[in-house]
Amino acid sequence: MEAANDSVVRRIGTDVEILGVASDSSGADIEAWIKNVGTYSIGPVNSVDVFLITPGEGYSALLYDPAGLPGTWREYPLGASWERGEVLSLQIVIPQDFSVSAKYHILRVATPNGVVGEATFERW
Amino acid sequence: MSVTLVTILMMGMFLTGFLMLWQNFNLNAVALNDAVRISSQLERERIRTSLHVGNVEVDTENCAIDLEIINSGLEAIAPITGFEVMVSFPGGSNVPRILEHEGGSEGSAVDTWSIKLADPSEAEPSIARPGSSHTIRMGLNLPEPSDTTAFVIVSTPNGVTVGADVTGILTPCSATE
Repeated sequence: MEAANDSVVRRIGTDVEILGVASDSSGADIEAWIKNVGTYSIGPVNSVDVFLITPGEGYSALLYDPAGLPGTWREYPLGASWERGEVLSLQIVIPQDFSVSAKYHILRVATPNGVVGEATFERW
Repeated sequence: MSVTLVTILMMGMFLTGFLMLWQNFNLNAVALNDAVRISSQLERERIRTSLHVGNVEVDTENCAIDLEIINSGLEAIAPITGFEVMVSFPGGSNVPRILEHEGGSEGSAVDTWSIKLADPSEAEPSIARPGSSHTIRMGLNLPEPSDTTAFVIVSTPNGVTVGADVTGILTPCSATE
């Protein structure tokens, strides 16, 4: 019961805010900056789940990969922590089946304990 | 006599168990209550926080951008050094980046930002009171040519953001140290 309670307390105190997403339509990279606005550190960073959603078109769950293959994400700099108040820089390489013709997309980020941050962005 | 002793012992054990359970329940309830209270307080502060962009000026000679931000919310924002400043180049070739805060100077070192004080004797340079304005000076290194526009995002320490389009940049350029 105490473990369940701790888990709930940590979830209540965990929060993220996507500050910005930069995505050039001519490139395969998406850059995102996400701030830990909760009261706990978040980690491990490679256990964060990242999703790219194109409304009405498709949905991609991205894998963590420090090498930066298509359909993956990594933190920058590699090995960065995500303490309270820190901004995590994400570098995403779009998957091969990503709908490049669509202009609007959604970036969804879930912390290891299931707290979700979401932002709509436009490819320039 | 022995029956009475056993009864007292059993009641004592029952009472001890009950008290331990009650204490555990209370500690959990307090932890949960604290988490909800702090989370609500942070959310309330975020709701009351707002930024607006005022004047935007490009210093082409020094590859710098001056962005005036106005605290249009109901909360004082402190410290200003806790702001996050990010720059991207829509349709351009220069890489998007997050700028480091350059403390203690009004210079424009490469890929840093600082607060440009209108009056050096300002009483509270690191607090943005509601209604006050501050100018953020960004020094950039833009090696790729042909980018003339940028998009700047400024975030408060609690994650409230404001964005502004900046035009009139001349690239390639690099901020002077």
